[in-house]
Amino acid sequence: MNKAISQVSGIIRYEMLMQWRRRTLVVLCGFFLVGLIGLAAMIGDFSFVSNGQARVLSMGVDENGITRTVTSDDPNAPLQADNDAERELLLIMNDPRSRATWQMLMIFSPGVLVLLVAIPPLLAEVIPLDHQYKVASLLNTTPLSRARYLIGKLLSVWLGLVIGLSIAAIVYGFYMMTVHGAIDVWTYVRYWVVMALLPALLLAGFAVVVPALVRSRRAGVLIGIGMIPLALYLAAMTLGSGYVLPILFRAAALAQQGIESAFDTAFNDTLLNTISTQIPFALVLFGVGMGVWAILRAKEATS
Amino acid sequence: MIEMHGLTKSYRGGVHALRGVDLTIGTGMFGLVGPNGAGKTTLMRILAGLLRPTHGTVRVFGHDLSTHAGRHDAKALLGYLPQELGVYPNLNAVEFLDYMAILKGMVDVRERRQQIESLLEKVNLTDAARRRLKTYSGGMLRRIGIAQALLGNPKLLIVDEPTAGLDPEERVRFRNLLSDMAIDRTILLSTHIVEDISQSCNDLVVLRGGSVVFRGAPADLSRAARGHVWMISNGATRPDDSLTLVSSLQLVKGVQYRVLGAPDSTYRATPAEPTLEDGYMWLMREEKNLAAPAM
Repeated sequence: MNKAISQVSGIIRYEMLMQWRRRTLVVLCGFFLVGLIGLAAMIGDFSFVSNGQARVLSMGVDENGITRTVTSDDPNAPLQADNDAERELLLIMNDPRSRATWQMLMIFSPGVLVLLVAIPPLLAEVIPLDHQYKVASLLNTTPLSRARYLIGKLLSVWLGLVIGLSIAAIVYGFYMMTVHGAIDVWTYVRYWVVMALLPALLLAGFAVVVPALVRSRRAGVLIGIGMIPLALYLAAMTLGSGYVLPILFRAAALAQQGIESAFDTAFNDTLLNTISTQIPFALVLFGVGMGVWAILRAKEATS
Repeated sequence: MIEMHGLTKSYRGGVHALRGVDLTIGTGMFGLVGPNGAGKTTLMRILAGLLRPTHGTVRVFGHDLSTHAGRHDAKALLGYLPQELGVYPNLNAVEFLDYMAILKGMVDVRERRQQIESLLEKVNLTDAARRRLKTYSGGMLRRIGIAQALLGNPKLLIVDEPTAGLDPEERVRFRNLLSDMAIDRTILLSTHIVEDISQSCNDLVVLRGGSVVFRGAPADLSRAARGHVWMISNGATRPDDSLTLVSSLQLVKGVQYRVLGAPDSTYRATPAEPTLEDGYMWLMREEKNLAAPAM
């Protein structure tokens, strides 16, 4: 195996092991999961019509929100649609799988907000801990470049987050399916990747890279706390553009224009919009990473 | 071969840790002794690539440490045991050594496993190999530090106070281990325990105030004190300040002193054969006298 790959994979392997034993990622992902399930249990049935099993006969949805709903307890009551598109919308709204999926996604957003705020302070210790444990100078006597070191640390945190958040998402998905019935898994997976995983990875990137410039865990955590506004901003950008209700409004607008796959189109557009709001953060992260690497290398040359 | 020319290191605030050190070190055990603040650790950190000299050049097996590529290549040949060893407390000994071996560039898994097993046996830690490092005593951590320094069969081994915290048996064991390994590599041993040097090194330097004040064999350093080492056994009076007290031994009838200098006849002193410690103490005394302003 190539030495560079061996070194980076070694850092990933042992850093993940240490994260597991330090319980940082476990706490983070566990907190996220407990939060989601707790919120879901507290809110209970969260369907659009608020009265659980009711059938939506007619609903007016525009950019201002749900303006009018006509519901019935009779599961066979006829739909009151003005056109085919609105009829399609109502069919989707009354589909138990769609409703379970939407219910799940509605609760997802506040959970993601808490997750994103918790990431920077909790993960900012990763590199400063090497200084705190006095291992950093030992690592500096090995033929390990700064770039490999940073990449290894970053990938270990990312991989840990992917695994931890995936487990949380799976458990939450099973819980919601148990309570509300089958969901649209593909919709849920896509939503989870774009709304939770990508912003979490971006923030974790900042939380690992920026504190590489300090030499104590306390300073690292303070930097992490200082990043909370960035977390809130990223959360606002992500959740603002990808929140569930606006998807519904857009779907309604598309349905009124006679576009048949209104929900799918609205959902895909929303995910793409959300990704486009995250791209600048990714570019900034890359720039910050390069800057930190350059500073570390310059420090090494002048120590 | 390690070559240093005009090596100077100054820290902020005008502290001069090294002042124009010129040294060439070949294979074998090489001792580095000197009082606190003499510049030993600075010299070792420069050789380990952790510090850049303010002036001067260092070449480690032909690799120029002033260049990034040179440092990188030299580090591939290096094993380093710092004075204050840091470890990951949540890893066990095998995991920690495996991690360090990977970072040192040991790619072959089987080779890593074999070497880790052998090193753990050499440092007498096989039984504790699966225990987390946070449960290790100071002596055990010292031994794990020694094992990590030996990973990858480094051509240059830098050990800073390696026997501090070890019990006498472990110290002898470690000294012998280093001597065995010194056959085809350079081992730079810094210590305050002069006995470690006398038992294992055939070449040494004494640093004082950032400069080399002695370079030679331990026997030469011992010889420097010949004719100046005395035993005073009358026990009645403590030797005066003109004599350097090396040791004092409480006896049934009074105290026996070992001193350096020229005791007058009132002490009824008898000459003694100098040891390396006597030679070192004599050298320090002479250097201090030289540095003292003329009255």
